[in-house]
Amino acid sequence: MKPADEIQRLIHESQITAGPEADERILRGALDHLAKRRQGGIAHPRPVIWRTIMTSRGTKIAAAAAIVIAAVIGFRFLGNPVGSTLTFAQVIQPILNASTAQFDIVIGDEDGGAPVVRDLVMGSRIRRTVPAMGDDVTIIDLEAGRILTFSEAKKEAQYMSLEGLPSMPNYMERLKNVIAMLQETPDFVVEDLGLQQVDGLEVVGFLAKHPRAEITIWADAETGLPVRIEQNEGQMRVVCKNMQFDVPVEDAWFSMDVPEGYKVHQASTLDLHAGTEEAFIEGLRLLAERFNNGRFPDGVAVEDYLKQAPDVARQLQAMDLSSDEQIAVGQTIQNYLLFTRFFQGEGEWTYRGQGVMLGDAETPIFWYRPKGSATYRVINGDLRVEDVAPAELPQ
Amino acid sequence: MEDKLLVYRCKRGSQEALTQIYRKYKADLLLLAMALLNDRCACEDVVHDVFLSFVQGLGGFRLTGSLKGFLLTCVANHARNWNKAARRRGRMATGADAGKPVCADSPIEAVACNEQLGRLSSVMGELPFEQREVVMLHLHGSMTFAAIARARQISANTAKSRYRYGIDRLRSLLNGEAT
Repeated sequence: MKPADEIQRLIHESQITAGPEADERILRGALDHLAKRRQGGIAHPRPVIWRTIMTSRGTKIAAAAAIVIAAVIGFRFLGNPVGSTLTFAQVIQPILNASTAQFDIVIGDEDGGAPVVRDLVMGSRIRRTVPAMGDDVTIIDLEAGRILTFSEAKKEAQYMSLEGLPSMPNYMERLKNVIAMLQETPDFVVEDLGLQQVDGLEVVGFLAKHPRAEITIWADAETGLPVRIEQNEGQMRVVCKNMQFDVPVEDAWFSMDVPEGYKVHQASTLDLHAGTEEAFIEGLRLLAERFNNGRFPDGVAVEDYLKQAPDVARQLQAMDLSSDEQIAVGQTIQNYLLFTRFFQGEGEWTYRGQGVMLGDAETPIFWYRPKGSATYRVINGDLRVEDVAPAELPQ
Repeated sequence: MEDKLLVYRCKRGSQEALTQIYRKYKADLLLLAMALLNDRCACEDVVHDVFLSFVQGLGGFRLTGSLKGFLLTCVANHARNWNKAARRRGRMATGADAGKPVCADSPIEAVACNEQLGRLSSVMGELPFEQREVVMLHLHGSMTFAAIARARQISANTAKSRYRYGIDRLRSLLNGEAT
């Protein structure tokens, strides 16, 4: 017998048991910490709070923008066949063949408190609902660059122009083109994660890695249909689950016409190019000054804002602002979110502003390298911006 | 994915989910700790610390591979730290206390090992810690050398070498040829 076999046999025959007392000693610290963690407020925004958000003009604008920009084009597939009963190519085939699709999207950590976005896709249009935010329905027309949001309960509607997004005559076609383009990219790797169980369902996983994105796809091992996709794109994580393809739909569900009898509010604009450095700084100033007791937020990504949104809504309500003022606040936050969501710089941005006081001139809170630049832009706690050589960046 | 759901529930504060994870993997984790440290009190402490760290880090934790592999790697890391601390204290981790019924400094009952585990710990204790770690993670944890290399931040070749040296040494020990 080879030594490795002998060791394996020993391992196989080895037994270690921990009685109830030992279990208690081993696990007690972790259980106590978990209880404290729970009591300490890792509370998640409940539907009622999200409904509160959606009654405030300012936070509604910011939250709606966050929802739209975070998941407007959620997928970038990469891949090649790999050796397995099911291949990566087979797993993505239903996506390639589908003419309609339905799925739920979660931005950020699934327990991070962000609401679930429910998308129904047909052609160039997405019918988007956020169950935790009430009955608002958003129809996104990617070809025309227009968004219609309406509430059946309130009989109110509003159009929004979506600027800066390339026209997409067909969202599913667009996805197929992206997949085809990325499949030809030479520098990606696909790792077979093998079979696993999910709620009694046997699924097979594939991890596709690319310098700009990392995607894990889980598919029903029997049918090969994708059931869940986890995507890390840049510094954002998007989970897509409860996927169904070729679901029956009706054209009327995607109509961009406001139903009769609805009050139509003044149209607004969501310019995806509005996420400039200046807009980002203004957002940082606003959030610190007015919503965070002079401190910068814990994070600056879209998912961070979605976590903070309930607090912002509560405070905004207490401020007794006029409708115009609320709209201005909402648009400032919207443009601030665009900066990191559609980050235009090189590599990754870094945020170190958590807990830093606005006005702290000594503490760098954010830095990034603009495209083509040899130096970094460093934003300090007093919101002064400096150009800094890579060697002199904060550690 | 079942593990992902357990982690998800832990993140939401479920003590039951944490207990389920512990029950599911405790034998594997304790066995690895015992094989690495040959000290039943230490192996209990190490697994305790692993679960505490796991809960403390839940906020930013994202399960990208197998939970078992992750926890085994954590046990190996904590065991390595314990081993270093023991060396500093002048207590070598290779001390053969596997046969002792209870911890020397504690009146309470520790985990219990069978004879085979005693022998396993004993022969593994003859290897340098780095070799023990790779041999156990590979044979017991079913981790690939690439995965071990990533977890230990060493090259895959280094992981393979440590495994090979460890196996060679075990061959001598098991054949009774150790000098």
